[in-house]
Amino acid sequence: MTDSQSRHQSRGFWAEAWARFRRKPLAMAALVFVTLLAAVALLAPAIAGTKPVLCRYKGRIYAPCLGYFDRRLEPTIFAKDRFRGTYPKNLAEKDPDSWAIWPLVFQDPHRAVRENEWPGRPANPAKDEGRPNRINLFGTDQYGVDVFAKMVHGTTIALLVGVVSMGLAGTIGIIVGAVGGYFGGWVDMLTSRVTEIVMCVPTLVLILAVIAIVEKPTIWKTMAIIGATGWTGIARLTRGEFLRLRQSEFVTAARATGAGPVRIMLRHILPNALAPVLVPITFGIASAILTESSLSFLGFGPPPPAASWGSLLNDARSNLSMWWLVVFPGVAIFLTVLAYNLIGEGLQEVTDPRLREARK
Amino acid sequence: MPLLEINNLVTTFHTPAGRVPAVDGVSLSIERGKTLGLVGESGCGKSVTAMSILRLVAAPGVIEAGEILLRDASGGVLNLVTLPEPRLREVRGGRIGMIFQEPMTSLNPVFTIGDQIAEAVLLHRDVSRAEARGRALEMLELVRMADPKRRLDEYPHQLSGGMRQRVVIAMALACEPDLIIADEPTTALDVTIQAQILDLLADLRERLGTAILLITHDLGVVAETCDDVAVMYAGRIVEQAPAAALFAKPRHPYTIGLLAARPDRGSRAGQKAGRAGENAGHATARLRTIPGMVPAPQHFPAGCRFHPRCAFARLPECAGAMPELREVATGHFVRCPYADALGEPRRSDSALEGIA
Amino acid sequence: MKRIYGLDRPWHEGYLRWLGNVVRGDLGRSFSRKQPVTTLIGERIGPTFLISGTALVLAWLLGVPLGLYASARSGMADERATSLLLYVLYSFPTFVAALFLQIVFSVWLRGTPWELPLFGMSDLPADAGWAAWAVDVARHAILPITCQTYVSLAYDSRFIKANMEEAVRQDYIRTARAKGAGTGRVLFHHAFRNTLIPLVTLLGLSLPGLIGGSVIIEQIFTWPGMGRLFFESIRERDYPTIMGLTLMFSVLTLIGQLLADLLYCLVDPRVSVE
Repeated sequence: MTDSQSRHQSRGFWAEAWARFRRKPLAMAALVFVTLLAAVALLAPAIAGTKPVLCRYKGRIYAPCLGYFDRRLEPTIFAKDRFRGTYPKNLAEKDPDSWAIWPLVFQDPHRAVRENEWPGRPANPAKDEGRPNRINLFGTDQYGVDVFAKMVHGTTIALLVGVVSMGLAGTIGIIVGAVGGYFGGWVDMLTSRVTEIVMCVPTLVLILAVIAIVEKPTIWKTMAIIGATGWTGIARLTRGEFLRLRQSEFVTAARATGAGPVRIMLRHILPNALAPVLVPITFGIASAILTESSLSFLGFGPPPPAASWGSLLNDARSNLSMWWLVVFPGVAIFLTVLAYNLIGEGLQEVTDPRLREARK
Repeated sequence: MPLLEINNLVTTFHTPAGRVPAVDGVSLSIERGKTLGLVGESGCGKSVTAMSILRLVAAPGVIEAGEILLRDASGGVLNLVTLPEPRLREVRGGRIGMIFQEPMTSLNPVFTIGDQIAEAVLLHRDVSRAEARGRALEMLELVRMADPKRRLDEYPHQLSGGMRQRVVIAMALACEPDLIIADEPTTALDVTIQAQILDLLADLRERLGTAILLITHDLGVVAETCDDVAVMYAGRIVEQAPAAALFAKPRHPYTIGLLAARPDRGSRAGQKAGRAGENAGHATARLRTIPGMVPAPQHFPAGCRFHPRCAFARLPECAGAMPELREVATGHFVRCPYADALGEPRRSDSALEGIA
Repeated sequence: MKRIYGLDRPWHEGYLRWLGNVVRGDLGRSFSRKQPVTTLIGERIGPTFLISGTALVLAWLLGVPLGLYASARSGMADERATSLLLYVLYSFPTFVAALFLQIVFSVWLRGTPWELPLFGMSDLPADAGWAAWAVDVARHAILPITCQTYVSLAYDSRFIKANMEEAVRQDYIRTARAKGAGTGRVLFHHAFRNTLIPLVTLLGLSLPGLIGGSVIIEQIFTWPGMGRLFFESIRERDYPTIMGLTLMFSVLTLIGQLLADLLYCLVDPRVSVE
């Protein structure tokens, strides 16, 4: 089989798999949900914030909302003019000709909104009085910070954690598994033993132990740790697939044409092994999100002011009567994990030939 | 009265792609103590027919019409299609035993040989465990298993394919059934083992008087073991006759093609078939094939289902209506309007040239 | 101070020394608690087993029948509802469930007989009677055990159902049916006996998850087990205890796998003890 043939075949396979996937209502609903979350993450500053999405100030157009992604992206002119983060009043006072497009919900993920900060609106309630209402959709926490705004801005972390850590875990797992499965012999011995050793320490214990050593934890370090400990299952599966496929005729044919091992692994085996490997990666995303929120819940989350859904739950622990601090982030974590699990399950069903056979 | 009579059996698979009629109006009958060979290419519906008899057709498959009548010695009749499940279970393994194609996977890997044969006995007879075990040992001796006492406590993985098939046969025969359905019992085995298993089956039939429905794609096997032959194509019987008559004067173009496509095996079977009729002997001198492929059940052509591959097809008649199965000689049924002409040796010889 | 704990030496030297001590059964002394790590772990191992062990047994006792029930009723309305519920439970994060349960049983049901204690293992003084103490501990343990159980329960029964479906497709099931075996016998005797093989593997692999889960559960319910000790020592950067506990957890995992390997020989005749 030549290169173009094997590629053509795999394209047909994916198109067929996608056609089958589309017929699964639950899996499709999950995919739509995740896409929606991604949109929320990208548009977070436009959904909830106290900084204008766009504004005209002293003759120029600015987008102060970008400051939510990175403080350095916030135009310096507002700091110079002593806005101190409160835009509505300052804009009107310091430039009467100014205008602004505001986020959908005027609430800040990092601080409580003060009285009259938005003309005519009272300050956010603090302590256990902030139950959900028209202004604070999901209520406020004990410091009066809006839970909805916190959750919208926390979406980024939830999604990033899954994608980044599983990207890392997938890379490590595929390399280790591919090398072991393709070369066999002592190489396989070595990679298999390493995999088993990492496997025998419970993941959460391993992660916590590593976090104990790491200086100054950041969300990126957490992702790296989750990725670096979560690759064992992927490696085992990849190894199995490579063991199986290296004996197949198209690999022999590729070898006969003089292709080197790296080329054979990447161009010939990997495309054929990708489908089964993608399934544990999708489930891995679900468990990475779960792990990150557990860590944040235990208090090892990203340092403030960044808030992940898990750290919201951590706040709730000392204020159990504030049920809204548990329900909204809890349901968000649950739905996201469920969505990835459903996608993984759907993927498994449409790509696993054995399951497909059974359905005939 | 035949022991088993199948009338107009229709078994359909309901798939997402639509209704698939795998068996479409099959009628067969098997006499007590005789062997009927059911022959056809893979996908023609012969295994589904076999599975339908014991209602073992897997999930999307449903028996939609027809009756399957099983008679006992005193003249009682059971219709297996409508028989309630508990009564049907008495028939399964009790009055009809079944042998499968894959001896490597058809035994349960976690139970011993002895337990699995004894289970068949315990399910149908009111005996103690020890008695059932004794019966299992007897059965292993009957199927000429070497060292049967030791085998009793061994697991399937410790046995070779041929030995496992003997175990399956022992299991099927454990309750002295009137009929054995053997679904390609030798296909998965080595040639030498195949001959042993076929000999064993023929021998057991003689000693126990069990009727056999032998499903196979191998005409050599049929020539060697069967009294009667039915040829299936695309869910239907196209020709049915006593074995000798069929090999001497095949009358359906498909049967003629099958016989012509058979390599001369040089085995006993081949010689026997060769002796059975010069015509077939001629045909095997050169290896021929039937052009085209067996159509998938969703794409059965209108009219005679063989006509797109048939050298004699005369349009539009053959594409028009499904030909009836009619008796052209005593006990010889053919589903082809030209069967009488094709039965003549000379004509069919030139016909073979036409097919090839 | 540094010299006492050997922190003035390079790390690999320290690690080798630690290994040497471990071989002699000495896990070192805790920095923050001034006690031998072995003593600390010894105090905490019982409570952990009370929760995790009970949860493990419960999950299997309930999960196996549930999985079998689901595979026997496959495709029926009640099975679909059960399976959906199990799926939802499986994706439901333990700590969220724990918080929900805490809200329900200690905030909403406060003052009713259904109120359950939130924290710790026992509120009774040390001189309370043995029976009273046992009841009190049981009341404290209900919520943590529930949280530990439900995820494994959902996973186990789904696993059993999936493997039963796989087993039912095998040729030997057809053979069993052709022999005249009824649906019940086919499912519970022929198919389930084969499902035991992957199930034993699962049992061996479920220990790491259970231990990982205990870290969270024990922390939420301030249950004085190894998980909470681990958590506290990370907070306090008490490295000897962290190392000791990590070792302990890994050993437990290994024991689980060894146990699974031994059981494997029991359930699969194709594998022998060699």
